[in-house]
Amino acid sequence: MQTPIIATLIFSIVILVIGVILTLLKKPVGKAVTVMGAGLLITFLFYYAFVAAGVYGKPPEKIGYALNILGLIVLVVGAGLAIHVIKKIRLKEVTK
Amino acid sequence: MSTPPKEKGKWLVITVIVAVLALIFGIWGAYTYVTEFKWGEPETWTLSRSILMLGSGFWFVVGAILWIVGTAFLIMELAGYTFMGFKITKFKIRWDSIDIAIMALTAAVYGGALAATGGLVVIPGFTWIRPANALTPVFGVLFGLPGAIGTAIGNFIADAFAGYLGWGSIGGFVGNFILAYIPYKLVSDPSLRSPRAWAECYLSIIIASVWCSAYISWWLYIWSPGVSPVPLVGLPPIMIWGWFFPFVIINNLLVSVILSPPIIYILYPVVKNWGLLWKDRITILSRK
Repeated sequence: MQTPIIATLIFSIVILVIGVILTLLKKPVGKAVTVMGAGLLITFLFYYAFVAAGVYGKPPEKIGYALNILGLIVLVVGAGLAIHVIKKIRLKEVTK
Repeated sequence: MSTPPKEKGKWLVITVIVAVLALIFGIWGAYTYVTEFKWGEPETWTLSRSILMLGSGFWFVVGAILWIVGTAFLIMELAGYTFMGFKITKFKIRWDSIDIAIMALTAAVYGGALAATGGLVVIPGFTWIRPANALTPVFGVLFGLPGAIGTAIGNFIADAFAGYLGWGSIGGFVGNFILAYIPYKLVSDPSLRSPRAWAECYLSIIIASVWCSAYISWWLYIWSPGVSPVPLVGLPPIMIWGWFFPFVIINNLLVSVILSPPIIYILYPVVKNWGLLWKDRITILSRK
């Protein structure tokens, strides 16, 4: 049944649109809502990639630890990038 | 001003009692789930029986109240209002690159950690224990609102990895926000350097676990077959209140009670030194 996933996708797009509108209206929270919407939509990229790869519905022994390793990559890359950005901004603030 | 020893002793006793009770309930819930629960027959589990005894009408009303208040918290916080004690206060958060990076960091760490440990056998028979759940109070207490929103996004990511992404994930999104938000609001001292802060932390974990589960359960219930004219969720109502609701409480409670407070205690100096602590990043503007 595709209805729930399409409804969820539409909900995510609505959040992103609200975020963009708030950002254009120069509301500080606009950035946060935009990131929320973007985060939800990026998740759909994972979802459709998994659908295309036929991951869902396969028995766990056929998938093995592929999803766990991918989760670990998301953790390490995401955390690494965020920490890098925070360090860079803090360095800028200190040198100002 | 430091806390008088008598006051400290009182809070220490409260902390131990709350922590031990939460731990006993968590272990008992997990043990009885493994030994009693039969899929499709929720009344086989003692905890389910106690919940179902009150009737789905009771849980519908309780869930509705928690759902409305929980959703109001999210909207209120995004609109720049928060609770300080029992008063609604206007606050300012810059939502600059650091706040956005905190959101991304918590989303990636929580989502990635949930996916990385998905299906991991921690103790044989307890495959459903998600150790990453312990991160939610940590993100709330240390990072505040950006941490709570990041947690919500992280759960959404984990749903995609687990194959659960769907209409229920929207309830999971706000439910996980609440899981981090309640500790953020209830723990007055994020350093956890006092017995009172530890007591608040344990209490907030218990409240957040129940609230999060009730929030998601109510969302699933109103969209379930037989309740909604357009069912968007496949789980029948008896399984929502009889299995999902107690299962998620135990799932969140057990790992969070054991792991979250020590993690907060250890990470606090690092987060504080980096200038990422929520208390250093928001400005209280007025009190209503």
